[in-house]
Amino acid sequence: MKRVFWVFVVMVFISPWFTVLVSNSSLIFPYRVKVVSIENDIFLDKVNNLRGEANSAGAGFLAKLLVNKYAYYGKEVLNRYLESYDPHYLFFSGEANLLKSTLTTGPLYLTFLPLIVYAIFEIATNRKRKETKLLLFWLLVSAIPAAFVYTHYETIARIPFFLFLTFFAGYGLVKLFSSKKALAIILTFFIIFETLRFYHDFKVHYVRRLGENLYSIPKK
Amino acid sequence: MKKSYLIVLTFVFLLGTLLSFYRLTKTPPCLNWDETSFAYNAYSILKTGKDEYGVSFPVQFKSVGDYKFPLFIYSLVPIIKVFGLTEFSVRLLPALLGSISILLIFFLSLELFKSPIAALFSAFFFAVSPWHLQFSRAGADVGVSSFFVILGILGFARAINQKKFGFILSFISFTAALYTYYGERVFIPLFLTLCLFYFRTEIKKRLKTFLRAGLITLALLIPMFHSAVSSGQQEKFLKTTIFGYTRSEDYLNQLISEDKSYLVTQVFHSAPLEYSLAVVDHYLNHFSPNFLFTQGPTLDKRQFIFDMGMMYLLEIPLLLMGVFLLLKKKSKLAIFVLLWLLIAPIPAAITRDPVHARRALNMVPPLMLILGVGGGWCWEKINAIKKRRVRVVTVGLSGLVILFFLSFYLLSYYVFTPERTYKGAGGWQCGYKELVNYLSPIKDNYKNIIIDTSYQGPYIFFLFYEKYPPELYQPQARLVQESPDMLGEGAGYDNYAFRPIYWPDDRWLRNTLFVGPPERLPEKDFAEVGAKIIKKIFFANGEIAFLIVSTF
Repeated sequence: MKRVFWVFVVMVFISPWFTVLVSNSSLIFPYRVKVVSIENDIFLDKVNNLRGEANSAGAGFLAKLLVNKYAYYGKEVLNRYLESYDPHYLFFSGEANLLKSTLTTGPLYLTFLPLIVYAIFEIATNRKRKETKLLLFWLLVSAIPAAFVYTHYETIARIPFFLFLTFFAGYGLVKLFSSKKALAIILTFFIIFETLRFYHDFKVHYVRRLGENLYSIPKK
Repeated sequence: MKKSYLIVLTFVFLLGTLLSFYRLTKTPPCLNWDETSFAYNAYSILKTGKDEYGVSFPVQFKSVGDYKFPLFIYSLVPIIKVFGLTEFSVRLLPALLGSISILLIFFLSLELFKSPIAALFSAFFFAVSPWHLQFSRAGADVGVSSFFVILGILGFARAINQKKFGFILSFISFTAALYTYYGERVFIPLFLTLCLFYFRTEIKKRLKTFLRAGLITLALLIPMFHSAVSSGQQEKFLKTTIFGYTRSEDYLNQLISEDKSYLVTQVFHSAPLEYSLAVVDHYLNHFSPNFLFTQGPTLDKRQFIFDMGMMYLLEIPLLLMGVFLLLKKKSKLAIFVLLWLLIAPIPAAITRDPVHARRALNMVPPLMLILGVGGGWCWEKINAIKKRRVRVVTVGLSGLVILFFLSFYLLSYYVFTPERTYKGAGGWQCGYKELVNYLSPIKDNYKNIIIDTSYQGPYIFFLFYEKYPPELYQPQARLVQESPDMLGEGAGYDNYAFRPIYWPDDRWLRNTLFVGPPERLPEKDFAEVGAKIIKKIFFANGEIAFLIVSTF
């Protein structure tokens, strides 16, 4: 576990989300969060519009049961919760806000994905390790805070989730080194390459993108 | 099989058939240009033995420049003979085969997992699957090829379980699928390679039968080999896949100027690296909860169901449970289903669209099989509850939850989605039927009728709704393509010309009828040039679809 911890620490430090948030911290923090509320005008307008459409199609009663602010609030929260598990967001694009993402890489490296999957499989099928199964539960729970944030794919509210995912990736890598060393070495090489590629983009191209868009990005 | 299972299966089949056929010609709201093209080419074969361009019994149909595969078109011929060139004719076969697929899924699940309860759940989830219904209700070739793929896999599973005629059923079905839909030419070779490797021991036991079936298949595929290497198919391959995509000069120049080193650009931004990442990205998008459960493929209106994904949200826990149970089972056939699911999105991943429900339709059967396993497990757990009252309440609540999601899907599919998908080539291309019905009787009063191509493909709608004699169209057929990278437009026939209207120039043409959306025909200029609106064609929501303007 000690080794897993150190691998986890290294992985966090090299992760794109960490680098971007730290380097832009003065523009991002203090962080003000807008929460999804059941009384939000957007839900109410949407519900009213849809009910109008259903009424004119003669399905008013059904729409009353299915299209209401409670159902839509639940749906919005669930949407945001599930966004955390979107592979395109996690490994390819990140949040649409340039201050919190480079847009060319996700918050985590793509190579983390097979390691996370391996770790989850290892933990889920290992009957003896009850405490590690608790980690799976926490992984599911850690995505909950972001479910209530108004901005889609928001990064900061997902930090606990990223930490758990990174922990799983670290756990997977350590486990893989003890069972399939060659594969672990290949994946480590990929992580190094992805890290170099990210830092290259961050230092060379991201600066230009950020400069071009700095005045149009909502800050803090 | 128990009688009670048979009763439930009949109910599930009837439910699925009802969902497949209810308001079949009304929802999706209109025929799109693929459907009309399939139908008109079948009509052309029926009447003349040639396609719209006058090619006798082709193995690929040039159509609008997308080189359609032949089996669906040929299978429409007898249907059009019986029911005529109608909307119902185009949509009948995919809906019918989609309904029969429910039974195939049941038997496939039974063959793989030997559990009638899991098989019934699989059949049920398949029958009500929005993803399956989306493509079996529209007259889509993929709806037909999907049937053959499921039948082929059922045959293969029977062969693996040492049952008779498995391989031959499997291979003939796969061949039919290869003649029906483009994506299958990627999926089926991958699938067969997987099977050859994964079931090599079982195949060795019945090697003779396997080889015999293989030889028959090869013979059946001979006509395809020629068309597969034709320039049309190469054009289609380059148009659709990521391999035909080239990065823009501007993008490359910017990279090079910022990197200041050719080597750095090659290491971090090489084309193979960027394309490979795009393929992985597209592949993973098909497993995204956004696509599967909440948003669906929002970029393509013909695949999209408003406010939901391709599956129901309630299926998430069952799916997770199903995957977990299959992994835990560690049986060969259980893992096989997971591997099938993993290769199914590959045909979609190598194309340019980030996510594509139609090209990834082969994901549906394994997903439904997994859901069946999850559902079966839940059913066992519920049955294990000792208190009858608790059991009844649990079943009742589960039923209500399913009913809630199913009702929302139906409301969305029949009411909300058509409101958002009726317009243009990306959508269901509504408005053409009403337009043709109005224009056809008066077309001889005008020297020229120019129809704008903003909504794409007008020529095929005119041919379809006018039931224009193919023997008259074939000599006039001409496809205009702006570039080989784009789909084309039929140039025209009789006094119809199909092209973009450019009003500043075109308004001086005399005794001409112009047809186009309001943005192409600015009303403020009409008085100056003596033009007059003679009719407005509306979409179902009251928005103007076409203005019909005459100059004197």
